[in-house]
Amino acid sequence: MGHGAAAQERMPAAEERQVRLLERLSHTVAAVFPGEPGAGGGSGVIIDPRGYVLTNFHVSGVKRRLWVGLDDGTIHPAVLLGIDPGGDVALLKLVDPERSEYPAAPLGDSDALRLGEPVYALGNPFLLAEDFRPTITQGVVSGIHRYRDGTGSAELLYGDCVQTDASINPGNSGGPLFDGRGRLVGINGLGGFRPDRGRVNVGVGFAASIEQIKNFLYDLRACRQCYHGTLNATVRDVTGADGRPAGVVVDAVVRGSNAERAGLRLGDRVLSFEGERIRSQNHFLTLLTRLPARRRVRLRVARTVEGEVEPRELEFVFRLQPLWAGPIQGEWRPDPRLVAAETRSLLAEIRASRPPDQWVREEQVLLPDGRRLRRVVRARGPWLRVEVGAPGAETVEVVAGDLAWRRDAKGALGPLPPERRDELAGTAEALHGLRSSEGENRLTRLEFTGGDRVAGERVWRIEARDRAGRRRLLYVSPASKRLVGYAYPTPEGRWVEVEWISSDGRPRRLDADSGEVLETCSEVVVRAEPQPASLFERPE
Amino acid sequence: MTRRFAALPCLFGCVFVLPAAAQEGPPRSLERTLARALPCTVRVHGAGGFQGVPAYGTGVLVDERGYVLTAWSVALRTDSLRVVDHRGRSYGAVVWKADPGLGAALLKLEAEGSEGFSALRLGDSGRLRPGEPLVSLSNPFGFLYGDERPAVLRGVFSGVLRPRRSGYRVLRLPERLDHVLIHDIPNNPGTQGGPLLTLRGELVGIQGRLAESRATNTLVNYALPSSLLREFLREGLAAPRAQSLAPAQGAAERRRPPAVGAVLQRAYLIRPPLAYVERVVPGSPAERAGLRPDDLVVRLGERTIYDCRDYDEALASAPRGRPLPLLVKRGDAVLALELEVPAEEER
Repeated sequence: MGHGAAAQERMPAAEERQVRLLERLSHTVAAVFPGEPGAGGGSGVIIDPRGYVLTNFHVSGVKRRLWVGLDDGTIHPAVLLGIDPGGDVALLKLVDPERSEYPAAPLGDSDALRLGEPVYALGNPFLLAEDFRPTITQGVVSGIHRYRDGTGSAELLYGDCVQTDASINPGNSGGPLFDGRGRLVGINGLGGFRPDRGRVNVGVGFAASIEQIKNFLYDLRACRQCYHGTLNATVRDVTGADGRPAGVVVDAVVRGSNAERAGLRLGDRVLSFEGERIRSQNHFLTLLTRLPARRRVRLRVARTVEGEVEPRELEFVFRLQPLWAGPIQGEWRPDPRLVAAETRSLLAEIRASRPPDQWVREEQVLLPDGRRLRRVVRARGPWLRVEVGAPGAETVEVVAGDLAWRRDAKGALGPLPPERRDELAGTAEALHGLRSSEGENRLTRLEFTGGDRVAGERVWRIEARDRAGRRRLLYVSPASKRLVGYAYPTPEGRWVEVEWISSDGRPRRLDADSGEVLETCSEVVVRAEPQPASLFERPE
Repeated sequence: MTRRFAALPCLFGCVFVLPAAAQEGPPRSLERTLARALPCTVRVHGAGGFQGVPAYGTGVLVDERGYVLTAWSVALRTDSLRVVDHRGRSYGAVVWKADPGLGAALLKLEAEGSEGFSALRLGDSGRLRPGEPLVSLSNPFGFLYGDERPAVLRGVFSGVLRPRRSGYRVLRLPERLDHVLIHDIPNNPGTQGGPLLTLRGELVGIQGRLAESRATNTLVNYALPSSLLREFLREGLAAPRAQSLAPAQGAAERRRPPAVGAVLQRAYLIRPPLAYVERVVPGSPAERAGLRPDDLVVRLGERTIYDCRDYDEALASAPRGRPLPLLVKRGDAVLALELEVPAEEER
């Protein structure tokens, strides 16, 4: 790039590092054109070498095919995968047959940002750069965890955003906000404009925080329309007589909402949400709106009960409901071909980690009534054998293809009850299908349907359905590619969530909606180990 | 990750850790400045929301007993003034001393039995050099709630503007402002009164509003320099009781134009419109002068009238009870008229 040697010598080392960093980051910045290339659009950023591009929903709209310009002056076709109209985020994928690898920006941690920390906004304001080399503006972190109300036709919400004084202008929308080490901490999308000065920066810009976007990333990749979560209740700050903040109080609850059915009432004072102590309405809203709909949450409140001096502390667990994000143009339907392609790519990653097809899992189970059991689960392909109890006096349950049998602690043989057979066989088929293509062929559906959180980790959710119509949700860790949990429906229609692997070493089985713990496991040992076929044969 | 770095220097000494920390977090001096200034920055909620006057602003605690320095605004002229500190605690407040001519006000928080406040001392704005980095804390657009922290904006000091000697005119000009600090930190509704600091944490001024150039139609951001605030603050802190905001003071702040009976077309969204006469009150000085609807007032006395605001100001400062030469454009013709300005009207 024609840097004179003399110029390089003059530049202080810190600035030299910064220039090099920004040069590298520039390669990850995209100019996004929902229509003709160069005809108007916004910015974006590549977050994965395979060509995944984050941008704003107000840039992409629901345009299925777009053009993306990179800083080397090239233009590539892209498809729209998923949209988050409520959070003003969309995910694109570059689909250039002539190129498969792109420079990508690493994701940072927007929760770790500090006020005054330097940040860089990159993008294409006013579509200045016809060769798509991004404009770089520098600023500081002006504020974190800002809550900005919805604006515009689709109620674009900046629920948990980073405020910066780096210049953000029309055309910057969808572009990256980087921290001083070049990690992506937000997607620039909202400028504080003033009507008397035209649509130009006035020193107040907002970026959707990357910690919020991470909660929606897998839904976006699974080609979904995302919804943010709502409590279906509102809260407000209460000030005491002395002017001190006196807590956050529920001032309206929608009748029939999940929160109301869980027990939340008018006048309850919010103590904590998801384990974090709530300081103010704003604090609560930023925590809440960064979560997706259907997320199971834990809300702790204090309630003053008549006749009691001390307020009672209560805890509610329920699923957030979707926050209506306003009408978008046309109904959103995932493109089945794109979903299939993303599913293929996920399965390839999972299977590349060579999950064992034959294994044994031993665990100590603690039931809510205090009973302890020893359980051994063995798998051989789609066959499953569960032993419960002390060795020699254990109950054995086996599903193996058409065969399903049970032996009780006294040694009496018999058929496996149909519900139990469905439970075990459905899980066995789904796990086998995830692990191998032979297993997948035995299923009628195996599809990547988005993201979820299991045992505190953001995971991929893959939905399986076998020939008998049994559904399973499989949760896979994007980091380790291992199965960390699954969920199955009970005959009564409730869902049970199984934490297969848990970071605290105590996997649990819980009611998927109420969060009620059905069992806790300890001393879990899993070994890949050949399981002789004889273990699954029905003894005579 | 970043939080861990902050603790490291204490454990292992600074030598090896500093370069990495400097890359990652805010510069250490800025971080110290913010840590010091955040608890001293408050939000001011007054009356307003009309005529483009925001009801909210920013202030800075300048005395441990709860005195807040802020920019003067008519929004402070209310009995229900409230000030919210960095913890989200809300206080009633009174205007202890106001100087609209300077554009400054000193508020006193009603905080009996309070444990005392963090406060910043005024620094020396005279030592500022153009290009010196500055940082401001404020409540732009009034979007902060509860204990939310003020917005941190950064920029550089551009220079000193002496309004009377330059082509600039400061909007709602505080009359006695001899000079203001010009910087490139955007001033927005709600930022007025916020502390303006050097990176070393020296309070060199409080944020003002915008100055506008007649010649180029451009806006620049200005701040009230600490050098002009020092005397005001000294007097204010020494005052035994709150100064009364009597109407007399209001009149000094902005003299109302006398009623001459010409009603202008004033509806506007962005800028004050040209001084077109909409209606002439029968029997008024305006009618006697020969003014008619749709006349465009282009000159009053010695002053060229660009818009309704100029018209008001020219009229307000016109000598009372004396004829005032007046130039109007009617169709293509320009007419010289004479308007008799009534003597001081009774209130």
